[in-house]
Amino acid sequence: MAELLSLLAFWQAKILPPSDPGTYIDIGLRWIHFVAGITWIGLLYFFNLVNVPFMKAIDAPTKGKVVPALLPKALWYFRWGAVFTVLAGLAYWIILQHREPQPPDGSPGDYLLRTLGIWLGLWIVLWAIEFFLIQAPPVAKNGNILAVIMIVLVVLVGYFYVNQTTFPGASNRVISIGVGGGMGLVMLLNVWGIIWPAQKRIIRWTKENAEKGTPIPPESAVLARRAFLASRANAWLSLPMLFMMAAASHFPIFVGG
Amino acid sequence: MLAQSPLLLPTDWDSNFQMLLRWTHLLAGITWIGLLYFFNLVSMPLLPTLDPPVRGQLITLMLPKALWWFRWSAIVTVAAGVTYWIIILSRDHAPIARTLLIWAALIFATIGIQALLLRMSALTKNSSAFVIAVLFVVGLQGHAMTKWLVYPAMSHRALSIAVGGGIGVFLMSNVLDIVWPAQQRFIAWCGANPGQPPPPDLAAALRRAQLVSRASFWLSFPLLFFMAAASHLPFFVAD
Repeated sequence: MAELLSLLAFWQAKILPPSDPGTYIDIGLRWIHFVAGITWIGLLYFFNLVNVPFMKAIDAPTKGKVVPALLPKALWYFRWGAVFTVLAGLAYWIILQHREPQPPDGSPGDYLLRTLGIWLGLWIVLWAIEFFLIQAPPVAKNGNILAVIMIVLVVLVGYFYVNQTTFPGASNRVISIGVGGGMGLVMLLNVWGIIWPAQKRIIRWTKENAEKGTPIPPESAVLARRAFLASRANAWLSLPMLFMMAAASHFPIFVGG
Repeated sequence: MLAQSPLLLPTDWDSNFQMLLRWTHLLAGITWIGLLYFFNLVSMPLLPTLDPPVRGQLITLMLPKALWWFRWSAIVTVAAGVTYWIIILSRDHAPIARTLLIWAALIFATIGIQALLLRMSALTKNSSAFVIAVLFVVGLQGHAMTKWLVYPAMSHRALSIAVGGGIGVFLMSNVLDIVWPAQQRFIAWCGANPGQPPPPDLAAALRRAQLVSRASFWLSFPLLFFMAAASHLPFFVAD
C-alpha cells in the first residue's frame, strides 16, 4: 500500500540557479564550444563520410555546378565553427588554470604563461611538420605513411606536453584539455592553413571552368589531394580529441604528482 | 623541478563502460546534429536555387548517404544516452520503471500534439509560427518533467538529462517518423521521374519534413544546454 501511495505522490524540483557570475561565464563558454564544435566536426564528418563519395559519383559538368554552389556555404560554417570552438575552449581552459593549486615554484601567472607557451610551441611544431610532410610526393601519394607519422608525433607531443606542464596537485581536467585541445589546435591549423586555402582556389577554378571554359590548372589535383589528406587526418584526430575532452570531466586518467 | 604525471587508467568495469557510452554518445551526437545543421544551414537553402538536373543528382546521389548517417547516428546517440541515464538513475536510487514510464508518456504526448499541429494549415503555412508552437509544447514537456518525474533527492544531473534527453528523443522521433519517410519517397520519386515536381501528397509530406527539421534545429540549442548543464551547472533541487 505504501508503495502504491508513493507511486501516486509527486515531488517537485525547484530551480535554484547558482548566484556567482563566474558560473555563467563558464556555462556560456561551454555552450558556445559545444554548438560551434558540433557545427565544425559535424561538417568535417559530412565532408569525409558523404561529400567525398558523392564527388566521386557525379560527372564533371555536374561537379562544375555543385562545387561552387555547395562548398562555399558549407566551408564558411566549417572554418568559422572551428574558430569559435577553439577560442571558447581556450578561454575556458585559461579560466580553469586559474583555479589550479599554487605551483611549487614561480607565481601562478608565470606558470600559466609557461604552460601556454609550451602548449602552443609543441602543437604548432607538430602541425608545421605535417604541413611540410604532405607536400612530399611519397607522403602525398600514400596516406598511410602520413597516418603512421601523425600517430607517432601526436603520442610523442602529448607525452612531452604532459611531462613538461604537470606539477603536484595539477588536475586531470586541465591536463586532459591540454592534450585534447592541442589536437584541436592542429585541426584548426589544418582547416585554415591547408584545407581552406586549397578549396578556395579549387572552387574558383571549377567555377571559371564551368562558366567560361577556362581549363582547370593541373595544380588543382595536387591541392585537392593535400586538402583531402588534411581533412582525413582531422577526421581521425577528432576521435582521440573528443575522448580527451570527455575524459577531462568524466574519466580521470592523469594524476599530477 | 617538475613532477611527472603518471597515467593511471581506471580499471573498473563501471568507469570504462560509462566512458565508452559517453564517447559513443558524443561521436554519434556530433554526426547527427552536425548533419541537422548541414541540412538547415546549407542544403535546404541551396536546393531551390539549383538547376533541375543538378538538383536531381544531389537528391539521388548525396541525400541517401547523408540521411543514412543522419538516422543511424540519431538511433545510436539516443541508445547510448538512455543507457547512460539509466545507470545514473540506478545510482540515484530512483524508482526506475516509474521514471521511465512518465518520461516516455510525456514525450509521446509531445509527439501527438505536434502531429495535431501539423494538421493545422494556419501553422503549416507559416514556418516561424509552427516552430514557436513546437518550442512552446516542448517547453511544457520539460516543465511537466520537473513536476511529475521527480523522486525524493533526485540529483540535478538525472533531471537535467531527463529534460535534455526528452528533447533528444523527440528529435529522434522527428527523424524516424517524419523526415526520413518523406525523404525516402522523394528520393525514389526523383529517381523514377527526373525533373518532375512531386505529387501533392508527397509535396505535403516534404513540407511537414521541412517544418519539423526547422523546429529540430532550434530545439537542439536547449537540448545541448541541458546536456552541458547536467554535469556543469547545477540548478535543479529536488524536494
